[in-house]
Amino acid sequence: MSGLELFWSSGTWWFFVGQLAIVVLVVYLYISQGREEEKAKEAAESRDEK
Amino acid sequence: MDAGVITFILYMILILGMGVYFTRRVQSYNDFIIGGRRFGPWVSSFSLISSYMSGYTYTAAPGMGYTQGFSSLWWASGDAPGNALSFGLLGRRLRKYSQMLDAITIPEFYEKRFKSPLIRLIASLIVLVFVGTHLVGQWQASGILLQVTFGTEYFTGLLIGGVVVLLYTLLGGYIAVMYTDALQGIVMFVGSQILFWLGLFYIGGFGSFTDNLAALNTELVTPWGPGGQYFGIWAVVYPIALILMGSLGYPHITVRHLSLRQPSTARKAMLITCILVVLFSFAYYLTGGLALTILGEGLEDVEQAAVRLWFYLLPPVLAGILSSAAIASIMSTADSFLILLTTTVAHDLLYRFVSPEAMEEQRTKWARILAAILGVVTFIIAINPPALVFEIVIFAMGGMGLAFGIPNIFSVYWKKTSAFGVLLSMILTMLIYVGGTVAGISPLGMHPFVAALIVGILAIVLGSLYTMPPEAEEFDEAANYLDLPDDVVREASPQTQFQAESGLALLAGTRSRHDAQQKRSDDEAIEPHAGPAWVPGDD
Repeated sequence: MSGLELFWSSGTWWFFVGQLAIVVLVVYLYISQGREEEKAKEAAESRDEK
Repeated sequence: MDAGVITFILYMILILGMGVYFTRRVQSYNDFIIGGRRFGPWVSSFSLISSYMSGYTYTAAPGMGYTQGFSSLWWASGDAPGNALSFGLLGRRLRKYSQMLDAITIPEFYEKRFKSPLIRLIASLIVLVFVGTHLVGQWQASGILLQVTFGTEYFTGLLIGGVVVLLYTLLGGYIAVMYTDALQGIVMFVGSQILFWLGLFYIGGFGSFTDNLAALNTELVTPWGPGGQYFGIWAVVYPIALILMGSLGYPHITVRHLSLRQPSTARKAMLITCILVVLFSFAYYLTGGLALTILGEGLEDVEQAAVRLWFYLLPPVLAGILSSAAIASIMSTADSFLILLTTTVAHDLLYRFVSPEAMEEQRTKWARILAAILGVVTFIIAINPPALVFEIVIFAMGGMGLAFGIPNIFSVYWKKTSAFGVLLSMILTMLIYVGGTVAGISPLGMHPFVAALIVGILAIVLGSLYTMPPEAEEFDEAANYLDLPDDVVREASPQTQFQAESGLALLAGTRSRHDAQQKRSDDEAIEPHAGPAWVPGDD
């Protein structure tokens, strides 16, 4: 069995998938926290307008 | 003179020059200790990465890759989530709360958050022990790296690294530390990528790399490693949990949250850090595997694997740049530890418990003198190091991850967290971790770190439920301001500004609720508002 076949069959590739999942999670957090900040900003602005 | 040596000398001059330049920016005690809370996402990210990575990056991590192959990536798996979430989940809140409480260090934050001077004292002593230990490891790594790269004596290597770091830290304080660390982070990142991709290209690509590794030992390509050392749940949980908790607990990392320009800066820093660390951490572990396939087995000191590889692959000038990157990794961590030790002794112990009436100028002077003394003491210990770099770094990381990681998370996410719960968690985790490591005990087959982590979480929860929480109402009030960036508050109406400020003042205990309400009534009398009072975070 070649090294590459062993890499795929033994599940070593999961290390890389795990990191990709972390990046996806962080991008999600980045967007959701941005929305929270935007909402807080709009709320402050609308109160100020009143 | 060798081109690599010239490159290295020029780099040292650049770093020292930055220290001298930033001396002018240190205009107050606050500037020296925390840099005046002024740093944006890029500087914060790169400086966090360079401080976190440490001398471990170019010595211990490739050494593990050399002996364990792909299975060493268990240690890299916690790096990206740990550092990114440290900014995104912890940093955002810690930045806001620390400003509200007017705290410039983590022990000070604990004291004001839990109204307990004892927590500050114990936290400061833990910082002294573990950060001091870790600093010894960094000086040691500096001696080893200069010995291997330029053939200097171990002591001369120690001296060069030590003198440069001491000088610019003494001169420029935290501001110099942040900017030099950011520069060193860029150098380290570029260096690690050059070495990894060049090594991969040299060996003939990823397929050839795995083939060569498997030809030496098929277990090097598997996740459980040679001898099945990562078989079993606890064997895997330990490295991931240790790195994760270390990222959330390291005081020299979390202090970067306190110095962010504003809470929303943490969000951008989280994304930048995550992407950089994913690329960075896998590269430096796998570089060890590349060194094994290119240089072959039988390296006398496995912690020299990366250094040997770049001298094998690169011309002297580029090798000199990579050597500078390696020394940068040490210096950027050593300076952060040095400034942290100084802050702890000057601000959390001397100023708080011995001489609270000291003037600001006097405190800055103390801090500089103490930085010199602490630097020299740890330097002397490093002349005859007690263990390998890897052993020292991992031990210190575990200790700080347990002592501070658990209280950090609970203090900003669970309003019922109490002083008793925090103290119980700190003391029990230290007893189990230090005792278990020294005595070589593995409770129920777990590493002492994992056992201490479980006990520490249970202790903080049960201890806090058993006792009265500190002023939970104010905690709620403070939490409502977290999503509102500072620049919005600055540009908002006087009413919004006042409400944000009164929230800060209430939590800091500097103004009573009655006074705050009274002031609001006075302000409204001057400038009436038609609508109902704005409720922070009301969306």
